[in-house]
Amino acid sequence: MKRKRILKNFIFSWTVIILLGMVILSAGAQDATVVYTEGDVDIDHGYGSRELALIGDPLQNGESIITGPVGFAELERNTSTTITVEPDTIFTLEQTVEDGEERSVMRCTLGSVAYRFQQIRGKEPYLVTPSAVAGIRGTEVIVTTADDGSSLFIVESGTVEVEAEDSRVVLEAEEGVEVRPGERPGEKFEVQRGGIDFSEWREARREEFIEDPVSSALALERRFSGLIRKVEELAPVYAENKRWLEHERELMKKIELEKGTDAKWEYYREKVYPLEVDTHNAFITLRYWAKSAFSLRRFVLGRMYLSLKTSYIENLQDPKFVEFLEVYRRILAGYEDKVVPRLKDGDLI
Amino acid sequence: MIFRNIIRMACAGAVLCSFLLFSGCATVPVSEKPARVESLLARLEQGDAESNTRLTHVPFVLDGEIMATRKDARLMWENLAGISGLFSDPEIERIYPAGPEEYGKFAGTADMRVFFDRALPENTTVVEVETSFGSFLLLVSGKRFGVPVLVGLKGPVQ
Repeated sequence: MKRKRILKNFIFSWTVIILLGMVILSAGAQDATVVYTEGDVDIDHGYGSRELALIGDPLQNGESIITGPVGFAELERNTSTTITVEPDTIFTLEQTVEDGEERSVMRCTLGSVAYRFQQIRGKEPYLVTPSAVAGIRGTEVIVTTADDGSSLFIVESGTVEVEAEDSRVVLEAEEGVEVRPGERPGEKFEVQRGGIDFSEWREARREEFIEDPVSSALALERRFSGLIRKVEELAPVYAENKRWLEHERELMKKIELEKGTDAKWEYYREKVYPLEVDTHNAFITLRYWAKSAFSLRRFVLGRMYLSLKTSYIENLQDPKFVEFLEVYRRILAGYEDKVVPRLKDGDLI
Repeated sequence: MIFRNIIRMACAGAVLCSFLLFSGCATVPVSEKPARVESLLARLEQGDAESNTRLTHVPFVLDGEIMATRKDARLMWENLAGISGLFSDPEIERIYPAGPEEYGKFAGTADMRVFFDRALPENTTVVEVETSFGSFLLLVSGKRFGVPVLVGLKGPVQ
């Protein structure tokens, strides 16, 4: 009888280990590999570690490719996805959880990235920009962003659903849409293959920002506030899950002492394990929204500040600059207060 | 015989001088030498955006911002290219090592704390300088084309 119980526990323990291993391996399978580089291409590993990207280097979750003015990189993922990172771009691989399932996230914070998905194993990834999120189905799509955080989605084949501010637009082949920060997706438009000059579009957005920096900063603030709302919604859920999990783990220890190992494992299966999964999912999702807010603050707001400070350096009392600074400081205060506590030091580099 | 002794002493003197010279170079980083920092400022003052970008480390600091890309460096120098006197007549007031505790001089934020703690290049120094344009705080480090590289800039400090 005792031997049978030991065998049962042994099998259960190994099942858990194997399942965890599969989760880790599937997370690893979401990484990409650098298959081609040209010019300045760096991999940012986080924690202040940044090095030249070489062909064959893996890009793991949480890491970024940063290309210089003449930098260009191509990445492959599971041999069925090709990611082309254009010059002056920051591209990051991340993950989130939706309906209990992990989804990979491909974030283009600045610059331009082209994606070709031939065959997707598991859930489709999300394509994220500072102003929108897109879901894809068997797609070739180009995503480009401007210095003010606006983004442009152009679909070459397949279908893309672009979502911003709780509003969705479905794009089919040879269609595109522009999304400005804090706004719903604009009207979709037809695109002739090669018919869009991305640098012209980026320059137009930049000129508009320089002309009216306060409106651009306010739009960014709206987007930022939306991200903070998500963080604030999820933070108590995660805290409560974590607290409850600790409580259940203590109970499990007591059950083992009072009723034996079998009862402990049964309690683990029924109560603790589902709670562990929920807590993990809440953590990943909370981190995703916090990282989204970080990207917006660091890369988009940071570049806005640099552009204006250096443009107005001879007259820092100019009302346009002063008004911009007011919005800028509000965003920074929200970031320090609500976002930073949700990130680790290594995320802040 | 006397001539041979003179040669020996001259050789020994030369060896000693080179030792002192090279050991001096090895212990004092370029970023701590005021003359080299002034040379950097003179080059930046010339206002060539392309060469100034090459003299800027990435990532770099601008006031309280951490700028991650070479495009940011280029954009900054393109905008500053037309400003004359930004770094002219520099008077260096202080140069000291940029330890992790100095982050608050640029911004008292978590981002800056982590940047100073983990991402500053080796031998980075803080330079307090007064130019005809105003007071600036600089972060400089390393060496490129004989001068240190700019890692951070704050100012003109109000």
